[in-house]
Order: sequence, then structure tokens, then C-alpha cells
Amino acid sequence: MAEKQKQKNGEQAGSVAMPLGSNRRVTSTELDDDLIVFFKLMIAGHKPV
Amino acid sequence: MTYDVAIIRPVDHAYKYAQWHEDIAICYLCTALKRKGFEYRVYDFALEQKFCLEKREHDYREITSSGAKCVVWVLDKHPTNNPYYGLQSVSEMASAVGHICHFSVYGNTQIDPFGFFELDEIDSVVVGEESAFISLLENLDVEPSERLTEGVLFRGQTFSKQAPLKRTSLNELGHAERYFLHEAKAGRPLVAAIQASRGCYAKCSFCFIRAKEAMHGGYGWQSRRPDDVVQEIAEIIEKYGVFDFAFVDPQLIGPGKTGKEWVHSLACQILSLNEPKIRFSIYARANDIDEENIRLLKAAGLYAVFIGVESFSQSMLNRLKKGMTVERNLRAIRLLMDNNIMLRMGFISFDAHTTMLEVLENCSGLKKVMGWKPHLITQPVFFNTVLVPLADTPKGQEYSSAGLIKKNAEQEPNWREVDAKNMALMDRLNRGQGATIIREPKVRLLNEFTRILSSELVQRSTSIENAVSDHLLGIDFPGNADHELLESKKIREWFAGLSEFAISQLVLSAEQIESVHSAEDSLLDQLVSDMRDELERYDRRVFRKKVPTWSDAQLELVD
Repeated sequence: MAEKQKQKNGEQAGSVAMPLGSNRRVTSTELDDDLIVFFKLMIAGHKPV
Repeated sequence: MTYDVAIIRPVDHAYKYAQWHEDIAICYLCTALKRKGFEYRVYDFALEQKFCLEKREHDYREITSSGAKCVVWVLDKHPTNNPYYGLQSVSEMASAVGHICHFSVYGNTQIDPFGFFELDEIDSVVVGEESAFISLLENLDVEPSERLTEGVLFRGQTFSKQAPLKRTSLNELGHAERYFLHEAKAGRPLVAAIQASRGCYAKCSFCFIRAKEAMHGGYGWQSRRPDDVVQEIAEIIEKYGVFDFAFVDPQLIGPGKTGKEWVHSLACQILSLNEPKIRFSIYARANDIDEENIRLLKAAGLYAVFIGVESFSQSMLNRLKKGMTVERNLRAIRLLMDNNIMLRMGFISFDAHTTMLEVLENCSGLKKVMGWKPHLITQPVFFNTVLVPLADTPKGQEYSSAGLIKKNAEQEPNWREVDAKNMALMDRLNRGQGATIIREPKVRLLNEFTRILSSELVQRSTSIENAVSDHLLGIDFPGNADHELLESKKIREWFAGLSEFAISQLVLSAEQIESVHSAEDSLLDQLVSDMRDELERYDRRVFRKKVPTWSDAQLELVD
């Protein structure tokens, strides 16, 4: 039980803490799935200086 | 909570940005650590959006109380990223909680490894692969004179030429241990980074793989078994419900017949999963883009390809030892566009020796591509690049001995402001975007124009990306409150026209600079002023407002 609670809190070694905002996510009505894929696979990655 | 190793992925820019996938180098470190029974914890400041010091300090304190014997900073490999910002985290942690244990750096491709020791807090630099990091951990308690490590540079060590480092067989490495992908289950939009190969067969004189080559006595293309890669993909789909993948291999398609058969097998096995939702991106050389490869990969879910096109001037391609012809570059682009595949185009618009004739050749190639399907090239960073070669590559050595690199402190006056102390550190690191001295004055002027144009585009692109990302994450910040930026149709329209806009500006400026007798700063000022006006009009046509930039103070800078 204690271990489960630890996992819930992201405290287990080998994991990361819960990211900011992960509990406050909203569902977008304006952004379609294809656009999100566009950002994930096309725009992401190379961030210039 | 106690563990042996803290792994940090630092924020590697001066500004807030969206990150969509795990760092694959960290995943493989985790695989190796787990196999050897080390306890670890990953702090991914980029994915966790720790852009303010307070959040990072919390983690530094947690690491302190964990009893970790080593903290390792894993640096991003992308050449457009500046390791200087990532390294600030090392000093920041030392300042916040002290130099509490052994501090190491892993995954560097950007800085001459010895340059790291300019930072007082860094104790070692891992120049080898996962096994080298494990050997570092196993030798931490050993007297320096008795350490048995390969591929690790220690502060204060006398360096001598070592035997080439062995490369690990990728089939023995195990699958990448995921440390953040579970968040996808909770609704976070993520891409799974996949590594199916390492190294490259080509010999581009500026590429970071040249430095790897020197260390390992060769760093040719090395692949995993396609069935094992596809098994990993299937596991990710099942475990995390993620169908979007980024193959982060420097070069997915290997040389000749072997490489072709391998990629065919990979594509066919992805297809055999019968998961039509799979989509992925790859990196490839233009000469490996042929009809059969693209047909199969497209059927398997290929969405975008990054090609280091570099130039449409043959003399520039030859100078960079790209091993490519302009014609092959154009053929690959045409083929991708005919198949409606997005193209991320790496471009080296200027090097120290670029002439105005070469600039015009580039303009001609870019105009030709814009006549096809320009909306498929939307990454706004593709043509800003002036070659600032990495120190430990043949091109870097050539530039260094010819005195073609000037330090940051000697930059053009309108270079983005960096305070003097930071500038000095960038200089000492022998990277941090020192400037290449472009010999021809007109080209120098055009380079500066292009840099400013690119910077304007990228600031806007980052604004939009952050707004999208934050909206999906439900994070409120000033830029995100502006819902005029958050309509799919408008965003699509803005990106779709970006390449044509940028290239028209580049061509216009190149022609104006070419037509004057001598290159004067007053001309640059006029060109920049006109371009900014045009860009604002472009924004307003789509969004009815200017897209925020740094100067609008709506983009958060990292504190």
C-alpha cells in the first residue's frame, strides 16, 4: 500500500515527479488532432538559440 | 527516498519552449542502470516545464536528500541547441545546494569535451556510450590512479591518446527504459522517441558524428534488428497508448543494399502490426529517398522527414563534403512532396566562403521548391543557419586554424543581448554560438538579415507552439490567455505560408544587396525594417494581430 502511494506521488526511484499542470488538463475544442500531430512530429525538436 | 544517480535533462534555451518527447539518451542510460542494479531518478526539466528557478531548486534539494553519489546532466544532441544554457543548471545546483557529490556530463555533441572543465563544478565528462557511464559509477570510490574506466574524462587527469572506444551492439542494449511516457496515459500529448540505429555512413565535414568517429575509431551506421524495433513500437502502443513516434536516429536508412533492405523490412514489419494510427518522423539523407522506400514508409505511417539538404549550390555542397548533388536534393524533395510528406529541411545558407553567386544559386533552388508544395515545408528555422562548426570536426579545425571564428564578445552589435559574464563563459566553452567570419561583405550583410528574419519567425513559431502546448496541458500563462492564437485553421494557414514568405524576403534582400555597389549597414537597417513591417502584415492577415515575440514580453524567459 505504501509502495502504491509512493508510486502515486511519483516518488519511486526510476520515475519522475508529476509534471506541472498534469492534474489541470483541459480538453481543447479548437485544436484538432491532426494539428497536434503536426506540432508533435513537424515542429517539435529543433529549437533554435 | 534514496537512489544512486540523479539524471537531469536541463532546459537548453533561454526561453520557455514545449517539449514533446523523452530524451532517448536518458532512456538508454536508464536501461543500462536498471540492468546493473543502480537506483536512479530522472529530472526532466524540459518535459516537466521547470522554467523557473524555484521549481528546479526544489529538485536540487530532493537530490541532496537522496544520498545520490552522482548527478549527471544529459545534453541534447541537436546542433541548433546551445549547451551553454543546459550547463547553467550545473552551476545553479552547486550554488543552491552545494557541490554535493560527483557531477558529470553525458551526451555532449556540441563542445570540445575538455571545454567542460572551464566550469569549476564539473568533475567528469562521459565521452563514451552507456557502458562508459556505468564504469564511471563503478569507479567513483576508487583512487584516481587506480580507476578502470574507458570513455570518461576526469578533471585533473593527464590526458593521453587512448585506444578507440568500443561500441555497444544495439541488439544487446535492451529496449529504451521509458521514464515519462506513462503521462500519455493521463492525456499528455507525447511522442515516443525511438532509436533504431546509430551513426552514419556519410562523411560531412561539419557533422558531430566526425567527433564520435575520432573517439571510436569509426562511427558508421549501426542498426538494431527491425523485428526488435517493431516489438518496442508494439509494446509502447500497448503500454502507453502512444501511436506517434519520432525516429531520432541521425540517419535512419543505412548505406547501399543493406540499408535499403533493412528499412524495407522495418516498414513491412510496422505494417504487419496493422495499426493504421501509427505515424512517425525520420531523419534521412536525400540520396536514400527513393520511390520504393517512400512508398513503403508512407504506407507504414511516415509523416515527416528531416533532410540535411544544406544547399542548392553545388560548390557549397562540395565544400561541406556533403557527398550530395543539387539534383539529388531536388529529386528527394519532389518525391516527398508528390507523396504529401512533410519536409523538415536542414539548410546551411552561409559558410565562411559563401559568395553572392552561391547565394543566388541557393535562392534559385529555394524558389524552385516553392513552386511545388511549399506548405509541406513549414519549419521556420530551416534557412537561418550560418555554419558555426563544432570544434572537434574537420570543418571546425579548418576554421579554427584559418582564424574564421570570432568569439561571442566580438559579435555584431545587434546580436541578442547576453550579459558580459555569460558571454565570457560561452567563449571559454569554445561554443555557445561563436560567430563565423563571412569573408564577402555583401554575404555578411545578407547573413545578418537572414538571422534577424529567422529569429523573428522562430519567436512567433515558439509563441504559437507554447500556446498550443500549454492549452493542451491546461497551464495558464499570459500568452495562452490569448485564444486568437488557438484556432487550428489559423495556425495551419500561418505555418503553410511561412516558407514562401521567408524565401520571398530572402530573395528580395539578396537581389537588393547584390544590386548595390557596396554593402552598407544602412541598407541592412532598411531591409530589416521593411521585413518586420511585412511580417506583421502577414501575422495580421491570419490572426488579426501580431504574433507575440520577445519584445512583447509575452514569452517567458527562463530565470
